[in-house]
Amino acid sequence: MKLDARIPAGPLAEKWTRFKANVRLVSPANKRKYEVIVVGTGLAGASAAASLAELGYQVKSFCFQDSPRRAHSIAAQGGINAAKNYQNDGDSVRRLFQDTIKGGDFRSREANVHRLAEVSVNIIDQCVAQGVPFAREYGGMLANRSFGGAQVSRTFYARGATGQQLLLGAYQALSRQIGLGKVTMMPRHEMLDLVVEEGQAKGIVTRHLVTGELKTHAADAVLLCTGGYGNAYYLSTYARGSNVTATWRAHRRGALFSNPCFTQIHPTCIPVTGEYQSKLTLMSESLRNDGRCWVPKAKGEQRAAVQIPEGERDYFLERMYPSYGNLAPRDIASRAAKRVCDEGRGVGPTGLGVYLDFSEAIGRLGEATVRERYANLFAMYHEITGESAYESPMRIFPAVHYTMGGLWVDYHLMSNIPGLFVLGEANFSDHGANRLGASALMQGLADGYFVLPYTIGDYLSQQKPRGEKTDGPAFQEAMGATQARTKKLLGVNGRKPVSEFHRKLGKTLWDTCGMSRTKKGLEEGLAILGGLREEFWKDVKVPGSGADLNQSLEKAGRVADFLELGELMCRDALEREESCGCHFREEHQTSDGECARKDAEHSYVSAWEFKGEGKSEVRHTEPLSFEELALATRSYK
Amino acid sequence: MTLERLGFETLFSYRSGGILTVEALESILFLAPSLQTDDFLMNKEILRMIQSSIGRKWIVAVTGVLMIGFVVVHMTGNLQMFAGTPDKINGYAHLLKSYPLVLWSFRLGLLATAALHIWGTISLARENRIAKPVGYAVAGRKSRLQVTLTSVTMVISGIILLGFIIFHLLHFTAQVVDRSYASMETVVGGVTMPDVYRMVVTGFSKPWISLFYVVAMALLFSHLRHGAASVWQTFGLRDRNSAQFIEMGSWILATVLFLGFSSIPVAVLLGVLKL
Amino acid sequence: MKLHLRVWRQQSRQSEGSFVTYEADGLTPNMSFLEMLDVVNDRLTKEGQEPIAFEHDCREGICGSCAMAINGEPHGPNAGATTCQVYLRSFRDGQTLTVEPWRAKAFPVIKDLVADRSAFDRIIQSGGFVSVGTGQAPDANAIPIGKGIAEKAFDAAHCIGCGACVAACRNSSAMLFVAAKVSHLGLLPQGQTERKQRVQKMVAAMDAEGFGNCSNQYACEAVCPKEISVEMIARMNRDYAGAVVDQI
Ligand SMILES: Cc1cc2nc3c(=O)[nH]c(=O)nc-3n(C[C@H](O)[C@H](O)[C@H](O)COP(=O)(O)OP(=O)(O)OC[C@H]3O[C@@H](n4cnc5c(N)ncnc54)[C@H](O)[C@@H]3O)c2cc1C
Ligand code: HEM
Ligand code: SF4
Ligand code: FES
Repeated sequence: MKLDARIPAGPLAEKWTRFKANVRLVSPANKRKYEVIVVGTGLAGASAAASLAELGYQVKSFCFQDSPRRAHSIAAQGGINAAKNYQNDGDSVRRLFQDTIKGGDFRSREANVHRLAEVSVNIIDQCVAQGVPFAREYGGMLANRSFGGAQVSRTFYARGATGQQLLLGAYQALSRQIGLGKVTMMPRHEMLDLVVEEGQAKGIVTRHLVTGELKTHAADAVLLCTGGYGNAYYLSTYARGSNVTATWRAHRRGALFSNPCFTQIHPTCIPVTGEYQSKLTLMSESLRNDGRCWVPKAKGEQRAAVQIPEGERDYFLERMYPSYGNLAPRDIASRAAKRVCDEGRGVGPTGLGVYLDFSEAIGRLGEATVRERYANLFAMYHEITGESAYESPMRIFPAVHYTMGGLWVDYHLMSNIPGLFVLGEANFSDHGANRLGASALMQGLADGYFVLPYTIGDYLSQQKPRGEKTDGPAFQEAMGATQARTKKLLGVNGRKPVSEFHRKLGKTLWDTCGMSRTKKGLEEGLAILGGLREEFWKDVKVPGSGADLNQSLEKAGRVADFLELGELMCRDALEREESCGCHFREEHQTSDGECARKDAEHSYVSAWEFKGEGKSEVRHTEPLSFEELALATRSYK
Repeated sequence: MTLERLGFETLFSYRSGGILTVEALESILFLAPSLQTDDFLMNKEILRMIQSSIGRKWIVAVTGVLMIGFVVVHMTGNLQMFAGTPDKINGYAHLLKSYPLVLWSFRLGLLATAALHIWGTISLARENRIAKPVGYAVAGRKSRLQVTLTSVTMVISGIILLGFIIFHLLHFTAQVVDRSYASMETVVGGVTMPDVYRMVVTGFSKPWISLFYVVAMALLFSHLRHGAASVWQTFGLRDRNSAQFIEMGSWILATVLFLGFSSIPVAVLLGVLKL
Repeated sequence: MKLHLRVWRQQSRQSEGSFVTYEADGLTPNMSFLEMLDVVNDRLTKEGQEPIAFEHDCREGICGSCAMAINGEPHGPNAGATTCQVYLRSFRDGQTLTVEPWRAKAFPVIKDLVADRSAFDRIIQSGGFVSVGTGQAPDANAIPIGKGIAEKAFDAAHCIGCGACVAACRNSSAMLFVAAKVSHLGLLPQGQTERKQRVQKMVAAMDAEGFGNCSNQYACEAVCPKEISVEMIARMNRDYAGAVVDQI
């Protein structure tokens, strides 16, 4: 299969401008004849649905939560990047572009990333106009902070709840359109299948989570804005409901899945305390502005942190990466933490933890300033662990946080199935093998506010409005398949609750396809997952019926999809015989333990094709070429 | 009238619990020239806004403040019982009665104020009951939920106060409780006037009447402990900084009113005030 | 650690509910309250019973999904925390906990501990926004906003729409929720143009949903996980009067 990314011709910096100038348009009078389905109401989905409705399209919006405002984006803490250069510290579109490509370890598309950097500035304008209360200086101007992987201060933030404020801005814009009758909002609806009619995406199948009703919806285009799949690991910083079902079902209908093994492990999360644990809590990356990471120099250190003298501490990030220090990118910081723990120098009851110490910052800035900057995060830490980070250092450990992989899309954000667009974390497009902090919010909003509203017109202008009829064979087939699957899940009637399978899947992925990977480990992982999947369909217990609110059924469907995805993640990791960004294959490392990229063989995007039940997936590749930036070895030393 | 107005006209729905309908209020207020504009619909909208939850809160608060003003003046007037001579209070009563027009406008005004206050509170309270059909099986800790006795008993303290006010009017104004009051007269400086002093002392010499008055004043205390602080919030004048002063102020006001009013029956019973 | 649970079980919107007792054993103080429910649910599943339905998503106090009253207290015993942020160390070993859904006419129970809070969305749809279309915005720094105002607007905007304010209120009043949005947008220069209309429409929508009225007892503020101040309600009362005056 030849993958055409449809990147416009011309110099990189002019591609997006040229594209916009030449894109085919739908006339204002015709827009209302087109129906667009938007699945997901996170930053990507809410912004897209609102913007499309403002343009005049008929929009149907879906989410599985009880309200669009609760999408997982709400939980983002730290901030959003934009090349505003308000700090006059040398930032520019070009620099944001470079940082993102480099941060992603040269595994993303130049054209997409450049466009992202270009529209980043509009995002901040839009959000401020909506009333997003970003942090301000005393003079009334917007404040910035720095985030990992950048040497400029370009991150805009709203205390520790940037995602919440941005999402509420988009939610309010969406609500306005719902109030005006231009968007039909369907919360508590889970998308369970994609309808592909004559090769084009024309609808979805949903389950109403309260009544259990299965229903098909037709449209002229379908947008998946359904977020990432990090919950495959069971324990992660994701909201518990985040899932891969929407994209996985689309994948099974023919959409290619790209780079599934690219999973970001965030260095600063609260360590696991017990078997019952249901989720991991992120401590914002912004903490690394003032916190210093260290472990004892000696193995098996028993003393409390404050009793360990300065000389016996190893500030490992500052030691290994002097120029970025504690602000090294996430993949690098996480791996460094893992390495020191593997050496037996980890801290806390499990030995899986490192210190994040604020004593130096408290000494330098005073406790009041530290409190002003991080009070809510310190409070959160205290709430969960019962410990005060003002008195002794926090204990942190890496946790699964973001998935760079996702459905393959071209420059138009359209998948290989015409009419199926994928936005936000659900696509693979902009972050390569590692995402920089504060760039996911940027991408979600860029896609929804400023990219898709242009690119969708190009597609729709070539389509005849199809109308709302859902009686075609493709719809019936998808409906039948969904009914059968629901019945099957309820009918297994085994002994084990879904969570047991999910935990086992998570542990397997974490051990074999986590922060570092080996051929042997991945092969073992594949074997375990194959067995687990079989066992699931024999022994899972889903009580209740399909005709009302049944959270066990919801979970079972999601975990069934995660199980299939898990295998694909391992296969992708296995076949990428190099190390890049988050993907660290122990076989491919430099003498000092850094990633050894193999640009000649692996400078591509993998794109997996589903070949049918029981058949193995086929990998296609989209080669990446770097015209503007020279392929270089990332160095944060 | 703009189209947009018509548009959100439909968004407004009538409140189920309101005792007065929009139409009824409208016909009353239609007579008020200040509310008449050329735009009839706009008028209706103002009426709807006044009828809304917050609109009625304002009415309750404004009428509450008016009544507080009244009781403060009333108490100050009553305290003339302690002037040492009955002539003081009798003269005051006489003065009031010599301007019947002013007196009756005041009385009617007060009546309307009280009526609005009661309409507002009762309709709000009815809706509140409908809005919370089921409570929790286990009551949360009072400290967590900020439950105070005075705030949860506003309706009951108000209704008993209403009963008291009716009794009070029958007692001293209509004088139906004791017919003999009507014949109590005195001559001050050559002018014949009702002997209010004697009436009050006679009235409060009956312990059950005094007791009822004191109990009623305790309820007034309770009502205003919460009510006088509430108005600041309703008027939008309460914030984090002023909150503690407002709470304190309402305590002081309620206490002063309680002591001021109760002092008279108590003094009569103790024999401090006598004929 | 061990807890006795009395949990509200209700099959559907239409059906009657009742309390069912469960014993939760083998717990540890570092477990969260919801993790304890997970454990109970896994056990129920194994026994072939339907697990307790409850809403949750982020499990870190920001999405506003989780919603239950523990011993009559919405979001449980701690100030400034959501249900998902309650850890078992807040309870005594052997304590009895009565767990109920939000109680309010405007939030009908759908199943067990799950209530329908869509009324909140409809209130926002009536006017809880700034009408600015994508692409219409001026440069972000073109409107300087004092730090104090921005911080105060954030305090209001931090509302997570959980509905605890309604749940705690004796009158099921939604004033704190509505006031938080009215104040967030009303404080900022961007929100001025529609300020009067907004408060008018949102209050009308709030009333139409069947919430009760504020009687100034501030239980809402006490249980609000984001500690939104009732100052916002005062501000809304003022704004509302302003809107009435404007009509005249
Ligand atoms: C704790 C945490 C902190 C973060 N902090 C930052 C940060 O500071 N800066 C930053 O840039 N990024 C941050 N991120 C990453 C960022 O929040 C996410 O990548 C981003 O919000 C994803 O947005 P989205 O719109 O793509 O998807 P989501 O917000 O995940 O939304 C997914 C939507 O899809 C819906 N959905 C999913 N599946 C289905 C289905 N089958 N049927 C129907 N609907 C469905 C959901 O209901 C939801 O509405 C953070 C992430 C986490 C976990
Ligand atoms: C006549 C019978 C009365 C009844 C039935 C009554 C009832 C009520 C009720 C139920 C409330 C509570 C409203 C709420 O909390 O939302 C209230 C508030 C109030 N009442 Fe009364 N009341 C009466 C008399 C009085 C009197 C005599 C006064 C003054 C002296 C008064 C002053 C107030 C004040 C100031 C408030 C607070 C208003 C606010 O909430 O802002 N009331 N009343
Ligand atoms: S005001 Fe507080 S309690 Fe009410 S919905 Fe918002 S966050 Fe929840
Ligand atoms: S689960 Fe999100 S706030 Fe509790």
